[in-house]
Amino acid sequence: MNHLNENQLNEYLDQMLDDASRQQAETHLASCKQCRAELADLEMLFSSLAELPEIPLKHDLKAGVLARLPREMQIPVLWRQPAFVMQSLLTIILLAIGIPIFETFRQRIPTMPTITLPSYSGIAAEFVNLLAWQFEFTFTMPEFTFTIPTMPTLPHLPISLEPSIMLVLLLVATTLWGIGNFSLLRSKPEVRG
Amino acid sequence: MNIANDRSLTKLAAQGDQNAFGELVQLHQSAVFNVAYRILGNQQDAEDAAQEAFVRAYNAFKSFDTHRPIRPWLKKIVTNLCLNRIKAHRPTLSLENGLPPPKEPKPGPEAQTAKRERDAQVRAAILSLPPRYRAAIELRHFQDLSYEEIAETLEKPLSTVKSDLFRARKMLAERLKETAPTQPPPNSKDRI
Repeated sequence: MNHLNENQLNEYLDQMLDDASRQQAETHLASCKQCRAELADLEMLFSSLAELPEIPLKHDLKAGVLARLPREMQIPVLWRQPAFVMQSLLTIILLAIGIPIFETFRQRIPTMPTITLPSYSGIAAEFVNLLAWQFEFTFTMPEFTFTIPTMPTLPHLPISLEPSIMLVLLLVATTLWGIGNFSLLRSKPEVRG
Repeated sequence: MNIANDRSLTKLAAQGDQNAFGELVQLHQSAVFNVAYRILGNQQDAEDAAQEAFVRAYNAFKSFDTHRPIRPWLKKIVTNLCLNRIKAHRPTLSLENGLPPPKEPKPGPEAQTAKRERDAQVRAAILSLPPRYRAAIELRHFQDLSYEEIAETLEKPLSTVKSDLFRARKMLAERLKETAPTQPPPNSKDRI
């Protein structure tokens, strides 16, 4: 039999030969001093590499690594869910305050586009109908009064919003805001070296 | 290393928990640093590379399956990082500034001294290899990857990887033989 070539010797040591090839190689090695010597050289190398000790680190890398992480990720994980809920609640509150302000603003300026906004009780009633709750109630919002300065003449554009449409808009706005903030809280800027 | 703890830390870190990531750094920094040290051959460069590898890992968590162990992934990142640094001709030293401090504070008995000298020769021999050969040795012998995994990591054909690895071993064996031993190798007596 011919001598084992470099590939066979290496694959034999790496245990990458199939059973038949391994048996053939072992049979040859048993009778060939030259191939045994080459194998021994490789085995010595394997052993030297395996015994190479780890080098101790002189410095703890933690502080340096953490200092280089993006600041955007400072929000603790446990806070994210509440943050998401709070964002949604904030949206609803802002809309609840914003709509009366807008309505007052519009009433003071006759030339503003006419937008008929539904009452909160109307929106709440739609919400109740949506959930099919079987009870009646009265929903009253506090009144807001604002002083608006005289505004220039604007084109007349009549728009009428039904309570159901307003409810849908509120829900859509809240959902979009929530999704946007949730993804923002989860996202990490890409840093490629 | 507690595997369950490692996985839970990995999951938290993947969600952006920097405290959990800090703990992962402490758990794996030595292993990651040693990969860099074997490839770059210099303590300072290796620390820099290890630190950079952790930052990259943090920013690449989206691409990592947190059900898998994190250490091989970290080693892969630092390996590629070091190879890129070598390609970009960043300075690496060849251990000529002195070997890293031994774990023992004082020189031990003769056998220990001989072992340290031998380890230094092995490290120097690895560093004398061309980078592609060095990478093959690192991935096969120190990270225990299969030929296919090495090919995937280095993005090279399997045949090239095998050729590089076998040539690297041949060169290493020859260099160690030249520098070496007055003492017999560990398994050198007739085996068969």
